Amino acid sequence: MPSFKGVLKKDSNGNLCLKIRISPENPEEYEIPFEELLEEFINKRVKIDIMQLTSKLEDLNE
Amino acid sequence: MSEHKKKINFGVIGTGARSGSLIRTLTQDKEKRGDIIALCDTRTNALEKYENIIKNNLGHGCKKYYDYLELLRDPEVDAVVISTPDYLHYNMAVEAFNLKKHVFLEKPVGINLDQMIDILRAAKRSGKILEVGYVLRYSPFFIEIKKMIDQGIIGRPMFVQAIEEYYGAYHFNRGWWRKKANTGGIMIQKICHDMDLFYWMFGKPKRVAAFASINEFKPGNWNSDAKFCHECKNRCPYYSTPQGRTYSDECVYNSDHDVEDNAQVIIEFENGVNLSMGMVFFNSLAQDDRHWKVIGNKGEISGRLSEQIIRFDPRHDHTLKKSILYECAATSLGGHGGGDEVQMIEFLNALSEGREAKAGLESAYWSSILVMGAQISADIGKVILIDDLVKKYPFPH
Repeated sequence: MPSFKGVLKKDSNGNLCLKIRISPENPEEYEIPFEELLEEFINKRVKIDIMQLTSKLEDLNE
Repeated sequence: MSEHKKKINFGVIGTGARSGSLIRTLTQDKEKRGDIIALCDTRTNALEKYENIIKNNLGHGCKKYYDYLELLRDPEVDAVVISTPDYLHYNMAVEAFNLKKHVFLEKPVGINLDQMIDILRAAKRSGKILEVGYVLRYSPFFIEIKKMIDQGIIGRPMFVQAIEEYYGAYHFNRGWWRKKANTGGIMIQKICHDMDLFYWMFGKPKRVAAFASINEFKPGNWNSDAKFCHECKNRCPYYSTPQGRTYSDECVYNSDHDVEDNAQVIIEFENGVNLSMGMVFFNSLAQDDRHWKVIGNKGEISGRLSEQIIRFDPRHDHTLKKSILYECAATSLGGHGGGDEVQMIEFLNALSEGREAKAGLESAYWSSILVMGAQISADIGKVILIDDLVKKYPFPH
């Protein structure tokens, strides 16, 4: 079951993409279109959860 | 230069997979505070393999011993890493402290409470520094959970559920690990890590109860009579070769192992926290991980160690929109949730600064009391009062 973590962006064509590392060994990040990320799920019933990530502990205290 | 400032000469006793990680960290310390000058093992090929790593990383060879006592008697060795089978820890650690060495002792401390407390008494007498291989303390995931608890993010912690799912156990029911006489049992082998975390986060325990059994890995649960994988004509998903993750290929179903394959522990703490911990070897591979949940009077936090993400849910959010995901670290960390690479550095810090290590005497004592309380409870079927254990085995002063 794939899981993705990255920065949600729009590419130069205005398409939603996710800027992610594509492997643990490669620290480079790439903008991957959602169409490519989710291709194997096309025409399938899916459940998508999305939440914002923070790395600031003070955000939990608000 | 004071004793605590000079370069520390290490001897490593036991050059297996676990010590490999520790050796690599030592050789890659940016401040070059430690030098590995001696190795000890009964296996020549293991000694040669790690001497080559030392030569590549440090530019020199090292002394090689086959007898740990000879290494411990080497006056040039300041500190030792003991990374041998569990049942050997006792004699090696006590002698190391008697011979005035600092000790990094892989977990468990010992395989019964007499051994564990004896080692701590020897450490105390020697005045030397002990660090136990409770590596999870150094994983960002658990460091951040501890911070959240200490900073009151969830208020007063009251209820904890933890589970370790460890697919197939690979070596824990094979080789020397498969017998309780060599390990003390599943609590001591595996849950000792968690007991250290529990004391660190929730303080002094009051009572412990546990159940442990062999539920899945026993004869009749797989269609084969073979005692070893290499004899088996109907390979199971846990099939292994001695060149794989295990040293030997005893059948996980049919061998003479007596270490349990699942356990449940309940702990009541002095501050009122109620905690349950499960350990299981016959889980789904997809769920292989440590899963934690801590509920306090302001909210709850939960997460999986491998994801390095902690979810915070406030207690009274009627919008259901105020939950937050907190990122502890990048997921591409080293072993034990990133703890492996950090713990040896912390030991070096403790040695350089001349202070107790983070997983030192106090950590070793309370984790030993708790884990043995759980193992005894599982063995005799009774709730164990921690004060009874403490009276019989007081903290070494």
